Amino acid sequence: MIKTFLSVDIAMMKIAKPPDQLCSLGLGSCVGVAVYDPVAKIGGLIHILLPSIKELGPGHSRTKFADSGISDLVDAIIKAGASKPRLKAKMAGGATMFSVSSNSPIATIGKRNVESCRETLACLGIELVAEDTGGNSGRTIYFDIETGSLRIKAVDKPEKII
Amino acid sequence: MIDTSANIDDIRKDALNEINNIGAGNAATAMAAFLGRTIRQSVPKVLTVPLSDMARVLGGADKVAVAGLVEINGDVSGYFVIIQEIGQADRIVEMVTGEAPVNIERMSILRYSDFEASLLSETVNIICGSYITATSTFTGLKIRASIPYLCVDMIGSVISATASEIGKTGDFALIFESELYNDAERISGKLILIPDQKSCNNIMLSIGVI
Repeated sequence: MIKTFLSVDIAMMKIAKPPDQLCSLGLGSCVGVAVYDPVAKIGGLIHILLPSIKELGPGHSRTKFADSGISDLVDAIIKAGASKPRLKAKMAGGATMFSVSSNSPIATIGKRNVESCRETLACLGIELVAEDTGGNSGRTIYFDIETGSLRIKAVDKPEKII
Repeated sequence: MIDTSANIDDIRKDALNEINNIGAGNAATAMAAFLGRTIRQSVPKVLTVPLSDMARVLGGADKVAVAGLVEINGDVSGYFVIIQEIGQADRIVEMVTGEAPVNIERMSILRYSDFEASLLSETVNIICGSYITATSTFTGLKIRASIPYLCVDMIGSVISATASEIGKTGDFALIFESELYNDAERISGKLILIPDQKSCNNIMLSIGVI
């Protein structure tokens, strides 16, 4: 079968089945959260931009935010045939790219995104099995739904698989 | 008279184009003085791009580039981000030092020595400063700029924090496209101006558009 990489851009989410893989290119402070059912082999990836829809109110696309986005992703995966108790999650991203002064909102956005993703997953009762977050480098991630592995590439660094 | 939202958008775009024009002109003059060469500017354009498309428009989410960021505040607050291709940044280093960057095999900030990085920061300062002066002159608004911050990484990653800031008020980014050339060589790339919603209104109010 031909393997297709489906790209998940800023504030998007996608669901797929093997042999297709999901990827997000160039994550900085954004976080890529992969949720999958290892038995049914259904997986989804979301590219989160901001921590919470509650801070901004209605009129915004729900997939921009960790809280509303992950919850929508989980609903969609279950609708596609996954079983909620079997769902697992992995995530990567949340870096701080510019060493701006610490009171600037862009200095903390990565960290706040990661925290909100963790909280949301915990609230939904989904086990976060692995993560590669923080730091000062951008990441490109490839999520293999067949194996549940998340391959992480950063410039000038060896590839990592979680 | 302005009577439809489409018209207002056109007039807003014209106003931003004018700022872009003046800014690019100032930047060309200042860069010519910095590099000691003739610098021309291309015809500047203002693009409105959906957030999900931003990285692609700027050159590709996983393509490595040199990014500069300046925080602005005062009557207008937000960010200026400038994206330069690695090759363009290398050329600027070469034009000033006469040599290629020290670690040409590296694709992170380690590609450049401290001195080379600081001269790239200076180009960020010059170009963003030119735009800030243009905006300020055109609108009469007071704008202060931070020191320039530099980052070498994938385009998607360097714009993501600023995309978050844009994402708080909307789903579109304003991208100022104005390229600077030395002979046929392109030496500077695209610029993103990220004013917050209040600042956008301040700019439009000051020039009588709203």
